Amino acid sequence: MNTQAIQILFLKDLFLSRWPMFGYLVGGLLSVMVTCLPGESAGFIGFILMITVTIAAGIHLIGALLLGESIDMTRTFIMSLPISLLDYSLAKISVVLVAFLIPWFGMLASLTIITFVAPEAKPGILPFLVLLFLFMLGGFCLQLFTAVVTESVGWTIVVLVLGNVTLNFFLKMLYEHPVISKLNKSEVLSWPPVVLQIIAIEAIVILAALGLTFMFQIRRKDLV
Amino acid sequence: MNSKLDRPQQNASAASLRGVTKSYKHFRLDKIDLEIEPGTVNGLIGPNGAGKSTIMRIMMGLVTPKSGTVSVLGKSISSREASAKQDIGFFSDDMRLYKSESIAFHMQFVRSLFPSWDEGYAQQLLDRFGLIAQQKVKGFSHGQRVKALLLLILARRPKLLILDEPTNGLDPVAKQEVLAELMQIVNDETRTILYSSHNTQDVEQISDTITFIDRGRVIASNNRDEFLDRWRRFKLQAPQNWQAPAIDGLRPESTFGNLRVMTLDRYETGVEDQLQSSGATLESSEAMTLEEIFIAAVSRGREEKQQ
Amino acid sequence: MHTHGWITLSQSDPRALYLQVIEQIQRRVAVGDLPPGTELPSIRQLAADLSVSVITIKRAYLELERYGTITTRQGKGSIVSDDPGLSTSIAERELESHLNEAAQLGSLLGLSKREMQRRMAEAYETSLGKKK
Repeated sequence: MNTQAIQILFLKDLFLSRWPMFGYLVGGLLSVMVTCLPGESAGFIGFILMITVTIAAGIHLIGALLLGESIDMTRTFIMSLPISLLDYSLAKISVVLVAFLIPWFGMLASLTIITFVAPEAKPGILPFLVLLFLFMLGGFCLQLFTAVVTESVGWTIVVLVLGNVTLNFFLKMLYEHPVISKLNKSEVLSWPPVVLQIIAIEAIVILAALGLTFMFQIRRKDLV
Repeated sequence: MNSKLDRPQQNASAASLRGVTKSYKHFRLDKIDLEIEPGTVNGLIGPNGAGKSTIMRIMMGLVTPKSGTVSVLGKSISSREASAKQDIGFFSDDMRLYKSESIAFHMQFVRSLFPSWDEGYAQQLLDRFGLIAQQKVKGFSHGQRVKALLLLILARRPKLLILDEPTNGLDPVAKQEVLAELMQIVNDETRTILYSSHNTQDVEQISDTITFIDRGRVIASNNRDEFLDRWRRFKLQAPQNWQAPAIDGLRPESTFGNLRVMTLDRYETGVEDQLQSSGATLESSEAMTLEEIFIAAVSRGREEKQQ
Repeated sequence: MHTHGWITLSQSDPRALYLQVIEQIQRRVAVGDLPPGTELPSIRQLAADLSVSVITIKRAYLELERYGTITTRQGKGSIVSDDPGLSTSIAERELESHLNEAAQLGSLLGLSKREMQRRMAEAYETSLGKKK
């Protein structure tokens, strides 16, 4: 494992995706600000915007950094350099993840701050937001896995669409859940066991998707 | 892979493939044996789909063979080892650079991975190839892209160059620029070039050794001049019932009435006499161009495979 | 670039390339552009500059050494020989190769040795006649 090579590859990809990364971060923060605007629908619109930005960021970055390399055939160029498959895989998977986490975390962090700082905000909503964002991160990791295994834009989008549909059902379940739905109106921050259970499931999905992605990638026999 | 045990020896091959096989759905590489001597220019000639690209990718560790051993610059090759690639420059016709970035970006990127990068030479190459460092790759013509990729390879002065159809589709001017620059490598007897093409003209002038590949097999491999000296075409006038003398390596090429055209792959003086005394009249005995030799060798190889 | 200072090659059958190299070096020597003792470029240098294979130049140098046009010193490259009669050796070689060709053609045509000699004498007379 050549840490210097991994670092160089990582920074190269981060540099190449600087505009989308920055753009989605800004878009995400703006969406968060929209939720704070006065009016009944502001919260709802801002919410939709945040989800849209997150999903778009995910597919854009996977497309640009991952699928793009096989479509654009830059991977042959990269693999002709003194880089092992392990170095390449580590650098690639971590940079796609980090590039996504920047806008993702930007939104989650700013929302967290707002729930504690803004006068009308109810801190109890925080677990709900965490559940939502972890779900989207899970969806992203599954898309990442699909992209690496299939190298197909088509299949990745299928997983994305399935993830979206599932998100709707997930949100419905959260709104209808006796315990969780009350959190949104609560002034007190609490983490009921059901919330922690769902977080655990989401974490397992995320780690499993990332782990399988990595294992699959380093076992490739034909790199190009 | 413990590459510390692989010590490059004096006069060791620059690259060596033994019994290499690879299977794809509709194509197979069949027990490839190839030996590349250091300090030589080696031409790999074969029709499209013959397996040249696959062989070169196996040499680079980009494709894992089903069986056989691959050793390049004294080291075993695999996708897990990156160190051998430090001294190898690989070009493939389907390689692409990042469209949104400039040549300068790529130069800086490659430079960060190769201590052997020669910035002075890189600047010279920009000049000689007529490339502008600040220009973004997006608008590049085919020739500019090829030259940019070759610049990124040449500037780090690799010991071994593996080039998969580099002059494909280049206009005559660009081709000259590229060949002239590649040939400068010949000055250094420790550096080696392996160069593939589907057409013989690109390769015959500069190659010391030529290997013919067809349908996943090595058909013939030899010093270029040996090929040219050993192959010969004979035009004979012979009656219908004429039997060709049993000369090793003599094969019919075509027949037109009483005219028979035959080729021989191991010419020696005196063959003309043997043909004359077999009852045929020898009209001519001519040398063959490398292209003609290639076509004849491939067709023989295909016949043999069918038998 | 198929040039190295005083040598220019034309694209043709690669086997004939080494003959072109031999010819051009001998011509330069005969004319006096390469006086005896001049160092010739190394085989690799010439191959690189002319964009031809090393074996082509190796062969040319080997032949030139055989003719006595150049001398190769162990590990120090080749220099133009001190041999004075170089201008004749080009013509000599050309005569030799033409005679061989004529002989081969004659035998293909089925000419007897006498017939061949007669034809040769005829041609020689004609060329003498042309000279006057």
